Amino acid sequence: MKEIVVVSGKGGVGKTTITASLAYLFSKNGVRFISADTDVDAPNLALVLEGEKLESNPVQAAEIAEVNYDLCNGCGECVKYCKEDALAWDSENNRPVVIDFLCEGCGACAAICEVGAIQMKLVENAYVEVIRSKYGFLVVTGRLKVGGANSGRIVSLVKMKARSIAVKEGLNVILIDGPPGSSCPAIAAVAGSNYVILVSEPTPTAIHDLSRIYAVVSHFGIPAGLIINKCDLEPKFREKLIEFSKENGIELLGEIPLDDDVPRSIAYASPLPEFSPNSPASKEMVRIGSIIMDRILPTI
Amino acid sequence: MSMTHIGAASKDIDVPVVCVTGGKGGTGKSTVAVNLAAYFAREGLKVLIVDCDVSAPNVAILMNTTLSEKREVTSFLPSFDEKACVRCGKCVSVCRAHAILQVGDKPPIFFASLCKSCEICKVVCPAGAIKEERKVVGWTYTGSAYGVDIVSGELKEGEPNSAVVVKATKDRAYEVLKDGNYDVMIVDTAPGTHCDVIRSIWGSDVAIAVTEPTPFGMHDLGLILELTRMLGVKTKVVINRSDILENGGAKVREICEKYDSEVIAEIPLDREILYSYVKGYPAVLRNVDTPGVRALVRLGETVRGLLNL
Amino acid sequence: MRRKRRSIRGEHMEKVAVSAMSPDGLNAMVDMRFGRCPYFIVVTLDGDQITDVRAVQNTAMAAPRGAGIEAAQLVLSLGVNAVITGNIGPNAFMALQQYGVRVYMGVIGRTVGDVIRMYLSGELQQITAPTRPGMGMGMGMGMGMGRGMGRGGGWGWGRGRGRRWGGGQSGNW
Repeated sequence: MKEIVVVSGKGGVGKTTITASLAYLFSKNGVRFISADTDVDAPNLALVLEGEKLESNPVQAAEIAEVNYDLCNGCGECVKYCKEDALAWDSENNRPVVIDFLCEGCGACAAICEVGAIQMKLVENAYVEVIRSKYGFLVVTGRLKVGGANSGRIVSLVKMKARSIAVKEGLNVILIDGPPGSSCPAIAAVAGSNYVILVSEPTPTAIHDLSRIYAVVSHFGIPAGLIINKCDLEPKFREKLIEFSKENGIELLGEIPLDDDVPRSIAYASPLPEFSPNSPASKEMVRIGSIIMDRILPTI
Repeated sequence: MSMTHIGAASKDIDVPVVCVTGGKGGTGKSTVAVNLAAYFAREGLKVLIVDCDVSAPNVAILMNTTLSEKREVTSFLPSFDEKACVRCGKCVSVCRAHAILQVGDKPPIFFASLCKSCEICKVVCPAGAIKEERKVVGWTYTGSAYGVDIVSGELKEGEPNSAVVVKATKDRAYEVLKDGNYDVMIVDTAPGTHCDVIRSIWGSDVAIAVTEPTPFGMHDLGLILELTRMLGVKTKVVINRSDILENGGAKVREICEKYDSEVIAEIPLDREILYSYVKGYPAVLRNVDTPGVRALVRLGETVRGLLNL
Repeated sequence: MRRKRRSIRGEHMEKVAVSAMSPDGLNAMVDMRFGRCPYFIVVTLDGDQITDVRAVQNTAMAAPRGAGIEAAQLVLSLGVNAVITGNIGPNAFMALQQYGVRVYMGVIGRTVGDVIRMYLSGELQQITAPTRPGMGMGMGMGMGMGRGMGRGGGWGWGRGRGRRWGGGQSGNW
């Protein structure tokens, strides 16, 4: 089983658009695969590939404080201490109240409470869902409950679910839409994959963020290819991206030009090669898809 | 229990607050917020607009002004004194972010990227071996344009902890409110439903959710309406670019009904609004009469009514 | 880097922790995750003889975040000399390296017994220094250590990257 993960560092550079297009191309070409969306803050892959929800399981991947009022002596230290303002003072009952959606689970209140009245408890903050896309293949997606925060654990649970389905159904490839950034969730998405598709665009912040996520990729020693999206945005930064790929031995998989059909395909929730097969961006996407299916997949 | 005495919302200032939010990015939140502010100012009200979208603050850009009175926002970072450290491991055991590692007689190793700046390590250290260091995580600014006063936050690039900057921005806004006789405060939030947005919405009297009639826009509208319902903030919906998808308005109304909300404005695609956006001149202040600008003016009247201004 | 281990009994006592999917000792399958594996099988070696096998539950498994560091703290407190796993994140790897623990990565689809045999015959690939891509990692990864350690964090520019764990000494770790 091979895992391909699509990451970008910076959000909004076209990661999901490219993953959805690849998934569409895989399915049209008979690749036996499952896709997974680990961008739980904005799990849009399933929206583009819309289909029928088969499963939705709540998962515990966050901690928040819980006050045991039998032990609480009402000293109020925890309220004074909480940096997140997640503990409020209930003056009617003379006791602290945890405001769940402001609590970030740092546990400082639990550590400072002299009578041990505050415990940290794991709470359900997300769902791991399985969706059958309108093209037939399965999508595993993580979805935060409203107000929940992402974590490496959710990403890990989504990947485990995708792996177990892949084993059960005899699928060869897992195509993962990664989270933005380069911290815990992104590390968890990249870990254990066989190939990384880096997506970037010619802007200073995109290049900066790309170099950070690439540091994670190369820590794991995973081979990577680069797709430059909106390649004609700024020639100077396009050069920089090409230079970056050469210096680090990253294959340049392709360059997708600015194309009005891309935002339109997003508005209509249709993968680009399906929405406008003859647009310049779509043609390049199809070419990149062939490189991955014909050359990358057999060798990783 | 009254929740109004929490954090930034605890300044005992009785100024109506309206926040402009919307879930998805790029739907026109800031355009709506800025035009709302400019409309109020035009009507003779004293207005403060607060830009809480600290990762991409653009209220000042949309008002073509430069902000000043830059102030640093800092957060705690522990600094370990290896000599004073008694290797007791207390800091390791209390740090739930697992940003500290220490075993045996070796000094602690600190992972800054995991640290949530809660300071508890410093509090529990029996040897006083953890010193406080402050790192700059962002800035707040003030300014004014078109008769509107502005407070804005800005997250330092690459900083993960935006919540602290949002909090500082709101604190600064309340500081400004205290000194002036403001009639209304408008808060522009970040996209999404994460904790930054929660902090920005917190304490508002009315929320305005700006959406567009696309599948993503409508999906995220559902999330933001769920969030504001959870927070107990009355929410009204504005459909921007209302004419890009046929029947889009009807679908948005369906979602609104589910959450007991309503559509208070539909703003069609309008070149004049785009032109104002690029020029940094709020459309409602320009002497143009197009469907989009008329919708923005009517929105201003409606919100004024909602807040009894 | 491959190195044939010396195997003189009595002279070379060491403990090796292997990330595992179950507590079944040498028969357990290696888990590819370091921070989120359910168990560590801790194998004590005397020369090339296995003298003790113990399963330790990984308390870091369900940590919302920072599982790698918590797991590193756990195996370090067990006093291991080497860790064998599928994948280990950059933070946890750095911690183990600081404590002089050797890390062997890239093991999948094998039993703990198999990898211990591979370890003894020098077939496993040890991670020595990480490659150095990226412009100053700054906050994103924030490898900074406490002042007391007298070292800074950050990765330098990406020169001399081998396909896998090439490169010589890394300056800033």
